[in-house]
Amino acid sequence: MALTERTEISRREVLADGQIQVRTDTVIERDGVEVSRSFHRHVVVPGADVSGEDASVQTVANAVHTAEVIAAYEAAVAARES
Amino acid sequence: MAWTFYNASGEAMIEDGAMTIANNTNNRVVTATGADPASLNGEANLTFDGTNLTVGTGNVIVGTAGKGIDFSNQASPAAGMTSELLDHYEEGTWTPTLLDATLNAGESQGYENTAGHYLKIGPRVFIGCRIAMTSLGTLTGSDQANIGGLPFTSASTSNTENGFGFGQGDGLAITAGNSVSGQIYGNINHIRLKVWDATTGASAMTVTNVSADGILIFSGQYTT
Repeated sequence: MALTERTEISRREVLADGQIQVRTDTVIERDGVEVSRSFHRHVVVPGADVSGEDASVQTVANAVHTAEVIAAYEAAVAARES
Repeated sequence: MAWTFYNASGEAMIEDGAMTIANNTNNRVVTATGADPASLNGEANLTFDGTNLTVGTGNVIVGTAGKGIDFSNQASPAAGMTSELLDHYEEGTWTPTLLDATLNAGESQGYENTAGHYLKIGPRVFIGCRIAMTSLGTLTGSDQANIGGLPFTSASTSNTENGFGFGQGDGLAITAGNSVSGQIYGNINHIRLKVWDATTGASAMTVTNVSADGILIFSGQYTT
């Protein structure tokens, strides 16, 4: 019997202002058959450093987080945080 | 009289005396297996007695986002009701971070430990959090303190602000008698920390107020 653990990105939800909700699944398998799955969530905002993100998230971020989107998001944050 | 069912192409599908359903027992739902002609099988773990549909083992899987369980036949919906569709359920973890006004998680903050859990039912997210600091790193002490890393971004709809009550704190640098609270408003994924320090209400809690060895434990909920 072999227990293995792997992670996979199961959700990349892009919101209207460019924020990306990311869900990472941790999957436990026994002899290749899934016996457990748990979720971890985080949000990637426009302009954030995505170098530590999964490659698939980086692909989405690079496509969505244009200079215009980042500028609009940062302006909205500045207005809210003031 | 012998009989035969034909499909639209004139192919014989079922002949008299030839139709059998494997594992057929009262109330079992019958499913087809294989290509044309398919074999039929009574599912031991899926039954319908005319009133209740029972899944003996396994789960009910909603195959399309935005679909779920529709409760619209419930009697007398409450005034202000906006939905009777349960279209999301999820539970998991998130990683709390202490942020200053720049909302940057990479300021060399040090943590003894952090733990965050969430439960999402429909658009509502219930969260729990424990964050224990060992260092403020390069955070600006006079800045508004925030808890970042929330699992979902809050709804962008106006007037959907939510407040958080903090049940436990330790090592903080606030004035005796004051208490800590939190605020989340539209379209963000962090909580602004507040201190109830005036008769008129709460004001900003600073990073210095949290302190380098501060511990905050709280739970709350917000709308996505």
